[in-house]
Amino acid sequence: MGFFSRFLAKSPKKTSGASPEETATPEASPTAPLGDPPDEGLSPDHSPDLDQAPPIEPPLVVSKEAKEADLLAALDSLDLNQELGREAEDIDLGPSLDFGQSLEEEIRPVVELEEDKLRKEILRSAGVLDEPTQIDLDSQEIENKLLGDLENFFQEQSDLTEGGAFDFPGFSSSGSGLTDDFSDWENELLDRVDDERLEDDSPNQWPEAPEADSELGQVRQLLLAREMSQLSFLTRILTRPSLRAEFISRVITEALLLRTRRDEKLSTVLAPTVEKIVTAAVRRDPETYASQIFPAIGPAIRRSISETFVSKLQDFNSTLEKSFSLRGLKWRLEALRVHKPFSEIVLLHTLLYHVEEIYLIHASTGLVLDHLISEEGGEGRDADMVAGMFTAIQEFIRDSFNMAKHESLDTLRFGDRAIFIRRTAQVYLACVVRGNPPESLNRDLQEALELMVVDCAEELENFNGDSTPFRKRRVYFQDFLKARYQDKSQKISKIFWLIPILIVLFFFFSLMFGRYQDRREAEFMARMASQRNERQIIREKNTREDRSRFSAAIERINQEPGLVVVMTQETADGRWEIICLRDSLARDPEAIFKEESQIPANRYKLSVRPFISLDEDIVRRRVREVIDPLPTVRLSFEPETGELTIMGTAPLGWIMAAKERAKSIPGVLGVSSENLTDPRASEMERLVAAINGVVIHFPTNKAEPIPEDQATLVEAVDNLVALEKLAYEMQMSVNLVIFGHADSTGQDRRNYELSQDRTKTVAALLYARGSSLSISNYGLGSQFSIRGEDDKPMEDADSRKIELRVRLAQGTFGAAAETR
Amino acid sequence: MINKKICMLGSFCVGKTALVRHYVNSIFSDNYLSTVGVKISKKSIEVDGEEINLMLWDMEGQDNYSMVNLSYLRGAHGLLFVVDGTRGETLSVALKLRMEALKILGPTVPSFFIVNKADLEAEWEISEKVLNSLEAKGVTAIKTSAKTGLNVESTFSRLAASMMTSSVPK
Repeated sequence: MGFFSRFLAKSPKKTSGASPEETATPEASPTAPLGDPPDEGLSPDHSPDLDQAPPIEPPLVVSKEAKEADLLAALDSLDLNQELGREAEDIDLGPSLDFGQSLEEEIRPVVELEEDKLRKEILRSAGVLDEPTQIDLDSQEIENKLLGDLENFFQEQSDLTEGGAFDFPGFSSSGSGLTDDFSDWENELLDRVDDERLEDDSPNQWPEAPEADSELGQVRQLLLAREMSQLSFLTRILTRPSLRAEFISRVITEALLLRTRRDEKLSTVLAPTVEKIVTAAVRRDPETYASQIFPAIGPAIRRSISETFVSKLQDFNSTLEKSFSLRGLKWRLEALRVHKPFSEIVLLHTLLYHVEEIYLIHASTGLVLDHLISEEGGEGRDADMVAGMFTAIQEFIRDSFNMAKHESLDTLRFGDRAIFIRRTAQVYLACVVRGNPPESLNRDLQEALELMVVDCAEELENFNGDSTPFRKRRVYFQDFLKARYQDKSQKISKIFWLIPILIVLFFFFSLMFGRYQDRREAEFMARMASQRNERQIIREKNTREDRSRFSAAIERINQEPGLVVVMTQETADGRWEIICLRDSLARDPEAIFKEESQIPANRYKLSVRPFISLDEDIVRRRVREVIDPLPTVRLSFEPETGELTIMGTAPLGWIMAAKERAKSIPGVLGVSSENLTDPRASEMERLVAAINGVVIHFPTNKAEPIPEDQATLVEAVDNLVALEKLAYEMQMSVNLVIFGHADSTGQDRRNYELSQDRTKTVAALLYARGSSLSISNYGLGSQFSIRGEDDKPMEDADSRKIELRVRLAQGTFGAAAETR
Repeated sequence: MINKKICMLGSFCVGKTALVRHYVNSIFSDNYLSTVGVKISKKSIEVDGEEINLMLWDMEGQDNYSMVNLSYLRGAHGLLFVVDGTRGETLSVALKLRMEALKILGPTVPSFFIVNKADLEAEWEISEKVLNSLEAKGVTAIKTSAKTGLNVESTFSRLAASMMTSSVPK
């Protein structure tokens, strides 16, 4: 809204045709509130004040009827408005010419002052002012009459001058006689007035003096004869156009000068007229006009251009003369060929550009008169809308940045494109240019535009939206779009011209290059030869004996299990370099090498890389290291099959751990431990086997074993106690599981209880013997008992029983090892 | 090809942009209205067998007539003053805008008053009497509705036709 508010300051316009009332009324202010009293400006005889005419009531409170009435009232004043609009159109002086009001303000005091002075002057000469009592009866009447006449005079004066202020030299002085103050030309004018009077047949417009025979007439004649003749003289000057022109011509230069000194308005007022004059003159004969103003501006332009060029050329010279590239060379050759400074050629090549589009736009409407698109650069945008918006944006910029009338948007840049705007008063060109155009493009565009404007001045004058005539003027701009093609063809011709040069250059360079290559080769050969010689010399340092010892040492290392020599090298200075893989269980290769080769440590370098060897000796060492056998244990490794056999006796825990560890030894593919036993293990196995077979039967519905199985029960408990003791020694744990059963008769719940109770008999006996075995007892009810036909419950002695199971676990390792 | 510039003026929220949107498609976004103060759209129509491009300058809403960016009006061939039928004061604003516009463009520029929101005619503050009075003064007022599309197309056609017959070149 920023520019709008600035706009406020300028608007609304005041025109010289506006009545004084309008300009003086406060409602004329542009910021007048919307809620003006509705009855303002409604009377038909009211001045046609456009600002007042359509009243706007404050919102909300007014009824619908009242609003309607207001709208109707507003419409009543519409005719007048339209009238005024027409008038305003005719004598529009531009938006910022606050003409009427200021003029009015200026005139009024002057007129009043003059009026006052003149009145006093006249009264004084009539003796009224000095001795008012002497003319007792008629003085008042006379004065009134005189004042009436004066009123008429000033009325006439203001009518004639249309409110303009004229400073009459005679009146401004307070001298007794007008003629006394007149200079020569004024006297001359006076004479002419007299002449005119003689020739004049028309009745004097000044009110005729009363008849001489009337008393009043005589008095008037007596008192005012001189003044009347003076008034008559002035009236003649004012009413006769020829005299008035003469009169004004005498003072016009001085008036203009005074006015110019006072403020700027004169130039504002005259500017459009001067513009029109100049435009007309230029249109009539552009050649003459140009030749007339050329002497004034030509040298200045030339100097400015030459200065710009000199500085540009200097820049290019300094920066480019140092640079040397293929392109630079090409341009240098071109410069030689066409006899032009190198810098100029560079300028020519770096300023490649392409005019992609040209819009010819009508300035005030923003309508497209013509739109030219280059064959390569055409984009399918809507020229009409783009041009319209483009025009709007220029207006927007002009308003927003308070641009002066002559200032305008010249160039818009975006990326590698730019829009160049060249304009005349009625039309402007907007050219979309890619690349780096020379300044001359702007000049050429302007020239073309001006030529076109002159060519179709008439069409522009009467432009009514029809763009057809302008399409016919395309020729003015078409060449700009073609610029690039010419450039291309030029390029091709240059390439053709360059071909022979390139061929010559090619031969020259190949010759040079060949010679260079030869030299390089020779150098290379020489260097190789010298290197070979050098190497030979060094080699000789290592004696044959050394070398054989070295080989023997390497051989020895390679024989050593877990050592592999992967690389040996004799450097130019006779040093040995050895890279050897070594298993962590192998001997130190360096010790072997040193021992075998007798080569001092400063003559070789042995690097060791770790690896895992599957050499049988190393595997044996590894097995021994990992298993760490007890003295009672013997190991044997079969390298063919990778089978490790562990024999002897050892505690069961150790045996199991050893078996686990043996599996993970690299090189060991299988572990055999059949002959590795624990002496107690067989006893334990016997006990476990004995316990696991035990079944103890019970009578019906009883938790006490049947008498036949009492002995079996005691034996089993004995075995369990013995097993527990052995397991403790061998660091193993024993887990006893007791399953209790009942036959299928009776209630299930009772059967579960019964089977549970039966398992407890064993537990009770064990605890009585001080055992701390871990016991898991499961009462299974009659789940596994035999049932009769049709799944009926039945008595079954074999179903009333408990079964014992023993599990052994490795106490220390926790790995479950079930033994039956 | 004949191109004509038409400016649309009126208070805020009277439906100028909606009317234009109903009628044409623009390549510019509505943001232009609030930033630049104007948005330009285009509509090609045929009048008496001749194709005419109407360039519609949809101007930002103006409640204070003195705030119109008058430079946008320059060279307009036709004017549309949009009034909201439900708000009587918008007619007063439009009348003032018309005064300003005619001062710049001359009194003979074809102009129509568009009384919009005909779909809400029951709520109108501008009565038939007011409209008749307007007609009596030689101002053409057309009831439209941007919502239903009533008279929108025909209004632009009528304006185009009267611009073509308007003899005064400007």
